[in-house]
Amino acid sequence: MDSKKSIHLLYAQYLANKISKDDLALLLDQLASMSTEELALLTAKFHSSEQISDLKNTEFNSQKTLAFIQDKIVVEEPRKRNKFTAWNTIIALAASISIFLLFKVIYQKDSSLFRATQDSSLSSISNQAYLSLILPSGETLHYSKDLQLLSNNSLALPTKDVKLNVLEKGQLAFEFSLEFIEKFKNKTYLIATGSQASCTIRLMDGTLVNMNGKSSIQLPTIFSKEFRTIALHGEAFFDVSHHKTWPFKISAKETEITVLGTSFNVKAYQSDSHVLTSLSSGSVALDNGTHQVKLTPGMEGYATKSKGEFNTRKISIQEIGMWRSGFFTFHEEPIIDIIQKLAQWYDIDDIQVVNDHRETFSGSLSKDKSLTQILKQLEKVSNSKFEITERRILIMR
Amino acid sequence: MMSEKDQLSDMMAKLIQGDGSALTYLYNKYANRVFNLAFQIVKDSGWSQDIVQEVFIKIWDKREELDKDSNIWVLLYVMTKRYAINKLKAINRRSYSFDRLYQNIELLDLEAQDLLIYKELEGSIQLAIEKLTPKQKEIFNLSRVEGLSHQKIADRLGISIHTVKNHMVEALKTLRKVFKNSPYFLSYLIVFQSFLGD
Repeated sequence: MDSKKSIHLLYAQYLANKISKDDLALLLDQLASMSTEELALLTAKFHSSEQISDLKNTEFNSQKTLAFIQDKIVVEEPRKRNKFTAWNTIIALAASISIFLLFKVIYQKDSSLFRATQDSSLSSISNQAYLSLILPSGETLHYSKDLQLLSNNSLALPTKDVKLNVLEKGQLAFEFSLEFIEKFKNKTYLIATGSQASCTIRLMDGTLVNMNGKSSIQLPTIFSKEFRTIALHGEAFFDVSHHKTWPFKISAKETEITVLGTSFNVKAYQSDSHVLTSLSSGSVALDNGTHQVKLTPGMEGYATKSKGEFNTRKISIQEIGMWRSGFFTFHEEPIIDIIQKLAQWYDIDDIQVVNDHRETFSGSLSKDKSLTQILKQLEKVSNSKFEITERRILIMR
Repeated sequence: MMSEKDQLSDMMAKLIQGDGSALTYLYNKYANRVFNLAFQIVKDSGWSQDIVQEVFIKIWDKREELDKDSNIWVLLYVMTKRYAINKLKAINRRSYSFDRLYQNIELLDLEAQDLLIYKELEGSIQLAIEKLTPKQKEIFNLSRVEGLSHQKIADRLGISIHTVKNHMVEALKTLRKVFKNSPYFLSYLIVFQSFLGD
């Protein structure tokens, strides 16, 4: 058989997905030995430029790919450099202040549980902290992004009591010594994330908590026999390990969420007007003391402030917990809501609307970008203009 | 009202001047075609997405050399083919990529046949699904009932896309085995063959 004939046959078999492993290897060998011209002829024969389908392949994540492309091309514009660097400094400063504030809020709120430590070095350490652990004693451990212990404010704490383990797929688990658990049996500890952190914590019952930035969970050193209880500030996606007789309870502000085993997202930042629970599988019950509601997959529930009743609405399951992928996603949302989501991530204090166009947008934006880059992207597709002053965003025409 | 052709050359002119929104316009117009062409050749969504990125970034980098009235699709087509073939050329017999490619071929082949069978047998297939392992069942349902992409299933379950595909290959193989012995499958074959005969 002459080689030209066989490469055509092999390639045809390959395209029809009817090729053996050996023939596939043979095909690849042949392709590797061909010149650019020969390859161009071969492919032109099998893939006519007129006949490529325009339909979207479900496996093609078009938005994400576009975000990557835009990421790469915008960065190369040299004139934006100065502003970009200056802005990074502002963000870093803002982050240190806000983490400090976050701790302050937590300490004040849970003064019965935590003895607030008046340590002047706290803000300088938490400036760099990606993840922090606040123990029942009030002692605090800060970790950098590569999970190195930055410093702890108590020299007395023997490190053998607390260990941070990195498990498969980057999951993190804190491990306490038996003496430690014995000593703080009915006490709670707290895990808090920095503003740009996103990490998965594995709890002792196997539950996975994927924490968004500026969030914290508070839980006992060991769960009681009756309930697994945990308090959430901020946002997290929960994948609760299934135990029929051991309910998992999450309190987020005034809402209590009870589950047996399921996965769902809870958003409860201080600035949010209500606690938003979005269910992706299983079932959960919401309770705010006066009203109850049960959610089914693809449902989102929140309590209205005035009446305390629960509202529910349908959402797409794919959107639940999308923040975990490193993207902001929006579905038909007005500019102001989008900016509010951004503000959460970039530590913006205040948003001022000079002129709102009431336009709505759908799409996704990469979290790796600077705020300036993202706003620039938004300006391109909308009629709005944005300005950043201090830690405020101005929305105008 | 501008004709489509005028609009395109207008966008090309903007692109050449360095307007990023023109690239987004071209992307929205042609990205599906670029992806589909790349996918025909490399048979992998991840690799195809890489190629889409490569192609559009190259277009941006070389924008000053473009002619606003040239046929941009022809250029994209030539570039996509070249990048895709280069990807195949770089795959070594003993590499991980080779296994990934072969797995994709197997899966695409099974899925093409499975699509017909599944449509016909939606009712009885539930019985067959019971024969799958829990993980296979979960992944099969996410793919066929909820219509999620392999990547989305991988993200949802926190496992790699490679593992998802592995489970799908095994699930489809099992289902085919079950149907071979089932009267439903026989009647299905008869119906299908008489249909072909028409």
